[in-house]
Amino acid sequence: MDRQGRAAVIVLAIVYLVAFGAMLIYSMFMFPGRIVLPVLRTGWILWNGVALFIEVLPTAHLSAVLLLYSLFAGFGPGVRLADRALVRALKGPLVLFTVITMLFAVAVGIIQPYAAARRDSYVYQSEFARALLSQAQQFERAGEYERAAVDYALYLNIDAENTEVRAQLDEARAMADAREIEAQPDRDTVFLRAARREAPDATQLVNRAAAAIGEQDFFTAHYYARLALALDSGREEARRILANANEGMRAFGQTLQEAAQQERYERKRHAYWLLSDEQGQSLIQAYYAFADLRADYPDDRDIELYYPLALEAIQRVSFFLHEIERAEAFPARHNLTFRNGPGAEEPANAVQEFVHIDRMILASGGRYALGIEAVQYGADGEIIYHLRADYGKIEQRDSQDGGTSSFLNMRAVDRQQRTVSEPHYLSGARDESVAHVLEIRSPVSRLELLAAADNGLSSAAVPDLLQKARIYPDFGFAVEPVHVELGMRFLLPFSLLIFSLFGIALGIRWRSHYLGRAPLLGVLALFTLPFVLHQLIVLYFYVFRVLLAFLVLSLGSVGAAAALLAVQALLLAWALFSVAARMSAT
Amino acid sequence: MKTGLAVALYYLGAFLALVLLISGVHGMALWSRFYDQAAAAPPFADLLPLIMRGIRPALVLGAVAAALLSLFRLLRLGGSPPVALSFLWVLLAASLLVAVAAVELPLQGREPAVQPARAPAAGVLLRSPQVALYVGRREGTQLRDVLLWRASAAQAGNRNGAAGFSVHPRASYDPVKEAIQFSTPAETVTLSKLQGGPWNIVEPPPLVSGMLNDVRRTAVPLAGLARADRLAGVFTVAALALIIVMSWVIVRLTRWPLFNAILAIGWLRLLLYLLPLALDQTMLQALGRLLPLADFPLSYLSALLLAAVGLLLLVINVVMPSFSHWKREVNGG
Repeated sequence: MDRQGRAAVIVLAIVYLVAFGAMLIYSMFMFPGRIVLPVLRTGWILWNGVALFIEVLPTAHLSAVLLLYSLFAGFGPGVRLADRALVRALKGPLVLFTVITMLFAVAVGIIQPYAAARRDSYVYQSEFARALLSQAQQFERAGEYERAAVDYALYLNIDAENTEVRAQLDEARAMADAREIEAQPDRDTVFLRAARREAPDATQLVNRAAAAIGEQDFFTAHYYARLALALDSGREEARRILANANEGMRAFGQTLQEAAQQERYERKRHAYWLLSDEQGQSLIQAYYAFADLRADYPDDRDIELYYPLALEAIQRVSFFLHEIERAEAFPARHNLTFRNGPGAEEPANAVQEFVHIDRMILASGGRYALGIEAVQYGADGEIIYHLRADYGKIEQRDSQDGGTSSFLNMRAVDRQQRTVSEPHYLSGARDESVAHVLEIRSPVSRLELLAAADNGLSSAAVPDLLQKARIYPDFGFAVEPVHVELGMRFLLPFSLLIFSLFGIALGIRWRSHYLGRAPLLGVLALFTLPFVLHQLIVLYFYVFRVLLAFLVLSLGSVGAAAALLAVQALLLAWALFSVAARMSAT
Repeated sequence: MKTGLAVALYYLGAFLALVLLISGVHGMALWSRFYDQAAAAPPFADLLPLIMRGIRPALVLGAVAAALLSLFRLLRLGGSPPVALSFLWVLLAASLLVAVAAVELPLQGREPAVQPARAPAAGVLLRSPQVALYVGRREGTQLRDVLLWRASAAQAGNRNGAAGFSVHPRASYDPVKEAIQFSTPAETVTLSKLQGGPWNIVEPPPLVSGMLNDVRRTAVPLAGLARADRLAGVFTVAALALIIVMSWVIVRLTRWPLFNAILAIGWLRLLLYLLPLALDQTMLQALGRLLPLADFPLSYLSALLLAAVGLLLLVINVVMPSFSHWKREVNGG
């Protein structure tokens, strides 16, 4: 690398560093302390700084090029337009700026959206953590210490150094443990409480047991004898009656064990019957029946065999609410409203369907929807159905035409409360078998791209914009804004190259003519130059945005792309000639 | 004299080119903002009237920018700068007077057949965090099968209308208010608050809208002044032109032309920002009370203020080393 090349790299690197530092300092002042947790401060500042730095990179770059060629670099006199020396002189800057342009394209297309997403994730995490903390405190006030402890623990995954919350977690865990210890004797003294309820002392219970055994009522005798022993374990008479009652029941043909086995058999038979019914509600009941059996008879091989089948069956017709609770920590998108299926402008389509989702969680285990509303209406505006559901899960299933489609399953099962959340029909109705599902009739691989916040296209990554351009018409959105944004993204790297070349030309034309360098002015210019240039660059991009919008709306996207390419080629040619002319004039 | 004519010609050419460019961009921006798929007229029918509408701010901006470019041009020419600067002053003042007059021109017969307004397209979902709107069919201002979604009270705070989806077989579009009006229940949705329409594409960034706003805030009071007192208007415009032409001081302030150029652009932007203050009646009244100018007519106070700044720059220009000296230093000769 020659002296000029070294000077170029040094000046560019210094200006880039100053710009990055300035963006970091700006981010420090702009840090939203009321929204983002202090523990995430460094990350937010860093990624916001990176995103802003890439945004102001054209300004920083043009400032650097102008400073470089008006203060530091020179091409020497006597380079003519037709001379080979001109090509040699141009080669170095052209290679350098082409490489920077390519890096800039990567930065704009990938790094900037990534940095913006990381920055935004700190906001999401902070909001989620605050929600968890608030929920934990509510649980704690309600005395639900175990659930409070879970939420505190989740909060500490985000804000691990928060000693105050850690103390609250320890306290909630201690309270939950204490309650468990208190609850333990209760479970052991079920008979004791029953005994107290039945009679004031063990003697009366023994008397009743004795009377029952006298009447050959072995079950009653067994019951009162057991209760008497619960009150007074030393009652030998009760122990004797208990043994006699057991003996009597066996002699009668049925022991307690046999009765229990018969009961188990009946419960299993009922559960099998529910499972084979294939109806949604029956399958949910079957799951609960097998879950209870599994808890009561953990060693039963039949139950072990059928429980997974019941689980699979319930997941086929519904999903568990706790899946959403577990997914809460994952990123979410808000406010998704979209047309489900083609619009009324399609000749064969008189019916239209719209879906709104308040919040969609993008978890590793699936995508979950909260606050769902759907409406379907005919050409005359008559509502066919209108439903609301609290929860939903997006699933891939076999559709009626034999292919695979995406469905929104809106039947959620709360395993703890044993309740089922189903869609509520405000008007109209649908077939009962499909009333809890909604087929999403358009590609849903990136449904989150329809979120209202994502409508601000300027922060979307190029791959996301390409996806939006593909899916927007299917969901009822105008695609022209996406095409314009895409055009602007592709324009950015070209513009950087054009700025570089015009920067060389202007820098040489407006070279400093101080005998020595002008350090004070240089420092002053370093601060004033970017502010003025930034205004001009913003104006330049706005002019192109207007031109592109006009072309996209009037000629369509292909015509607009061709026109944009032609304009950029003309500008590039003009910039090259300017540089060549300026060099030959020096 | 030769230099003066060259600069004058250069100014006129630059002024014409810049006015065409700025008004063209402004016209295209307005055309895109008010783009209406359902319009009966051919798409380009309203472009020319919209460009004509864009000429008004374009004349002011074009005159100022062309003057700056002419000053840079003058740096490269030989001859006598005072003559060229005088020519430039006259031309700039004349251009600004035309611009100020144009601000108030009704442009009769060149207005679009239909007043341009944001219009909803059928089959396109428009939305904001609080509202979503979908028009099934549109025939002029009559809308059919309109779907409206409103956020719940918890999401949107206090507002009218029911939350969630509602389907309206009929609704009407009001181009004057740029709004959709529903009869049952009676409510209105303003289009400018919704995202997804063509108007969002050309939304100017704050820097651009700020600059256009400053131009408007300068041009409108100037036009008002000229209408109320023609002579005061002429004097004010002449004084303003003097300040701009005397930016010559900044254009040759140092031996580093790049720095001078940046300073000059920054100076003119600052001038555009401060000019509305110099034309503000309240400011002028306060200034009139502060200065010993009790009997001085208020309508001439702006001209006096601007002329004072212009004359100050003129004095600095006289005191500064001569232009030939500067040129020798910069060109090394």
